[in-house]
Amino acid sequence: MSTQPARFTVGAAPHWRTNTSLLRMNLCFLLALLPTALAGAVAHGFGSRNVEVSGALGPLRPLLEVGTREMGVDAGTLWFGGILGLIVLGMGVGLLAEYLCQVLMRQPYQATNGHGVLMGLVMVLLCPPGVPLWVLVFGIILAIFIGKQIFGGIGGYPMHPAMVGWLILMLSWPHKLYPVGAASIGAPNAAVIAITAIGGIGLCLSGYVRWQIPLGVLLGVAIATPIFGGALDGGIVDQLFTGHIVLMAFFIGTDSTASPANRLAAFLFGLLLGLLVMLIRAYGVWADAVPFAVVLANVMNPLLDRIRPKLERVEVAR
Amino acid sequence: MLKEALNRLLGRPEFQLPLETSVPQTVELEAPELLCLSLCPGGVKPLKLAVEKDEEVSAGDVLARDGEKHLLPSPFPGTIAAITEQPDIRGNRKGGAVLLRPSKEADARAFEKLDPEKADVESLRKRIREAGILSTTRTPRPLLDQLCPEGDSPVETLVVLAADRDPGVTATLQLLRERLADAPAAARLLGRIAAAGKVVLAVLESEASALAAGAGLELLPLQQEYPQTLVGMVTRKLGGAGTLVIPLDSALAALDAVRDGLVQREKWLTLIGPDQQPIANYRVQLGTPIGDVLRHAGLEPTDRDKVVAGGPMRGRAVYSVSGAVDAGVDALTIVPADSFPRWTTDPCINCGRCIDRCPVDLQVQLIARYAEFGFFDRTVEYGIDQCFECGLCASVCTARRPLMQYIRLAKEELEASA
Repeated sequence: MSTQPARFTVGAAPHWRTNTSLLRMNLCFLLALLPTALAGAVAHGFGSRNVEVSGALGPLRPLLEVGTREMGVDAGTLWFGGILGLIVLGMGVGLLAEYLCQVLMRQPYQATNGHGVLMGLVMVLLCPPGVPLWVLVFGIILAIFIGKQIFGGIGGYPMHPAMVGWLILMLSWPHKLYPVGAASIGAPNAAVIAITAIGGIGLCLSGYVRWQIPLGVLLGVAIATPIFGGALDGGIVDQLFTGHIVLMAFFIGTDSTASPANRLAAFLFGLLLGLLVMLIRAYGVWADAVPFAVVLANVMNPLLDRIRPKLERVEVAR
Repeated sequence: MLKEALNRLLGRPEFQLPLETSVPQTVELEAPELLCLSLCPGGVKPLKLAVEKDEEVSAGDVLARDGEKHLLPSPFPGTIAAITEQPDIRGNRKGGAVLLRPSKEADARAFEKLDPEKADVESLRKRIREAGILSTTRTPRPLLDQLCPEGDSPVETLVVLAADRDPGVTATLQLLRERLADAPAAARLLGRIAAAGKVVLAVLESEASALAAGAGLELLPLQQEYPQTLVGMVTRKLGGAGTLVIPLDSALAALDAVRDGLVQREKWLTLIGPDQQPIANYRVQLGTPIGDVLRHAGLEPTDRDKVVAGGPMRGRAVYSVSGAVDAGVDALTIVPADSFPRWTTDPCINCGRCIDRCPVDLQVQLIARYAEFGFFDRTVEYGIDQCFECGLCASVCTARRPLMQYIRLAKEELEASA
């Protein structure tokens, strides 16, 4: 036994705290999205990418085809065997892009908090299964770089990074993202969307997201559908169970950095999101209304966050 | 079990801190060889020593004083063993300390008895002074200075807070249950001394039924949830300015000084162990080194552990176990190294958990960001003065930002520039 007195840690109160962290929050998002990703892969048939897969490699094709022809395998299948491969690729590129940005921009390393991975996964889920790999990779890199790291990384970006990346892709190569009749990986049919909703409810129960946002979105959709009904096909349920509205309500709109912190403001944000998405869906020219609605609502976030509980000032003798 | 596993993997955003309503086992600790009495209680103004080394003193003799305003009476008859430079439990080195060797056949009576209902107010006030009673809501301060503040801001509502403030702590509850009949009497006594218009006894909801309010005394039941029992919270509930909150142990010490002529010398404190559960309530003599309590409990904190004088949410981490228990310490908390995650410098992600938990509805995320980047003036607009430092914001922050520290930094800077 040493005679030296023990050297305690000193620090300011509070001395107890929760074990939450950014990594755990993003892990929650990823776990809640996992069923959607798997169900999406199943719905498309895991290997359906084999068709035209090598064509999807784009400019990377000569590089990735080295040796594969001799083996008698399709390069795309070898490297990225189907949709699951695409999902893993997206998450990996998200992580790597964030890390490289932080190295190049001399920012503190935060890539390990999993946010880049989440952004990559969201991007993949929005893509159709036949998306060219180079488009996807390019989109994720843009999402991380322009959407996120330029503004200082997590906590700093004004708009959801994956939506920024997705918008750039959508406006630049619309025909690559929407081959006729293709549904995205994350929302191919009503069953997968229902699974997304269940995962989303689980995410809300985890306590990491504000449930007011999904509630507001669903309510907004319910209000807007009858109003814009003339320009839409189907009723409220049809609207919810097509496209990315459910994914947006639970997983994209709830991104904390770009959504309000106050409860009422969060609900109004969700409501605005729901109204905007139906408005754009009804009268917009683009196939997917979600990215526009999210980006527009995101820029309203600082304004909405001014709706806060009135501070009751009480004179307190010191 | 599944829930536990999920919590470990994904974290636990919910962070409920119910206040204890059952007391753990109790231990009465004997007085140590030497009692260490700080010469600067509260750490503001050191007292002037009034005794010499080896001097014999009897209970109630003045050991040190600040004019007639603040007296430090001897809690025991005994001998002054030494006068040291030892810092007090808050690490404050001003003033040093007196080491008193209490004699065995200790007669506690120091003063004549007074009738708390009939004696005239002036003599009651004098007694509170000479008994050196401190109010311990934050740092110890002379009770009488609070009851009868200088200038024209008299106490309108006097609250005796008979509830523990930190989660896990039951020192006050123990005292209340032990002296159920004395608590209202003590509140009335303080009300008389302060000439307060309204006297309130604030207790946990679970204790309210056991107490009868009676004439001239209101009961205020408090929710059994941190931070509902904090002084700031109680003050807000009762309307702010003109409200004075005095903890139960100070009030009872005042009653003892008046009715029985005693100097305050005992203190209940709750020992909260490394597993975040209360181990025992200790009755100790003021001036007992906290090391004695830890030794009795068989706890031996090692390098990088935290030893907290006070509860887990508001206590102060100490660097040595030689510090002595004073009137402001109601708990000892052991926090083992690595049992909680460290603070980070990660940016705020605007998740709003701090706002959810702030009892005052402050925009904590904005205040902390302004403080982080040095815009201290802006924090005033967002009501930083309303914060009473419960620490909930920092304890639930998803990004593990040291929110409470940022707020304290801003307060210090504002005070320094004022």
